[in-house]
Amino acid sequence: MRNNRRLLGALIALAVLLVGGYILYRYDPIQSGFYPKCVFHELTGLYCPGCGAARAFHALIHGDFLAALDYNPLLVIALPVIIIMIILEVVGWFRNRRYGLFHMWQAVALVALIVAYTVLRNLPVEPFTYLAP
Amino acid sequence: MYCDNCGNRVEGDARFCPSCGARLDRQEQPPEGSPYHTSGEYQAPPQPPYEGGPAPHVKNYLVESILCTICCCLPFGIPGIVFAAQVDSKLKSGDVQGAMESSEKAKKWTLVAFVLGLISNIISIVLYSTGATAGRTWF
Repeated sequence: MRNNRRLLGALIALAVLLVGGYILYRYDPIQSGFYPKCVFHELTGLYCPGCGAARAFHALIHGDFLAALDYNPLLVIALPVIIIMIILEVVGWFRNRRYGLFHMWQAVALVALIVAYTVLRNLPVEPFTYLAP
Repeated sequence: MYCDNCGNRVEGDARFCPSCGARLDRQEQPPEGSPYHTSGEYQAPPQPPYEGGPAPHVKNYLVESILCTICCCLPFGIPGIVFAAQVDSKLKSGDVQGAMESSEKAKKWTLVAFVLGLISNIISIVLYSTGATAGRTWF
């Protein structure tokens, strides 16, 4: 019964992933207006760490790796790690065990990385402008 | 701990699940040989240290909190990441009860970040579709 609920959760997540992937494949975020706009960017004019994610995924699905890197380098580089973490999470979910425990310093480093990335990609100076979408 | 039958959370010393009424067979929860063989109360002080191998499944919400930090809401996502790491470090030291408490906190912060992100995105879609704002997408 509990495993049924997990299976349902995994199936819903898979469905959302497939539908989202198809929408991102079919419609270019630059040309279509229905994608949600980054509220942080609308309000402040600054880029958030996720800015460029939709365009990066669109480029990635179409096989344009370099364009994806251009839109959001951190997300594209971190993507394999995120996918591995999701797989470990799902496997542990079904086997009722946790694999790959995190250290506190890893979490602190991760937060520092995200905050630094957010600051740096908003700097209007030459090397950092590549981090902006 | 969590009920084997319905998956709901159960208080430490309950013998029956308050949600579905199923009998809680505690001997079965941590398998033999596991360092977490807590037969009975979790507040028993001599907690066995983590000895390697897979730990019991206490969800840390790390992936969720990272995605929420990047895509929804930076300030509310960060506590989620910190509590997620706290879940793991408590699991390592054998503190399953403490890990569950941190897990609840990580869940709360991640949920707050997600809901805030969702609300602000819905508002932005509504504003866009009514023509209140114009321009290209930035997400």
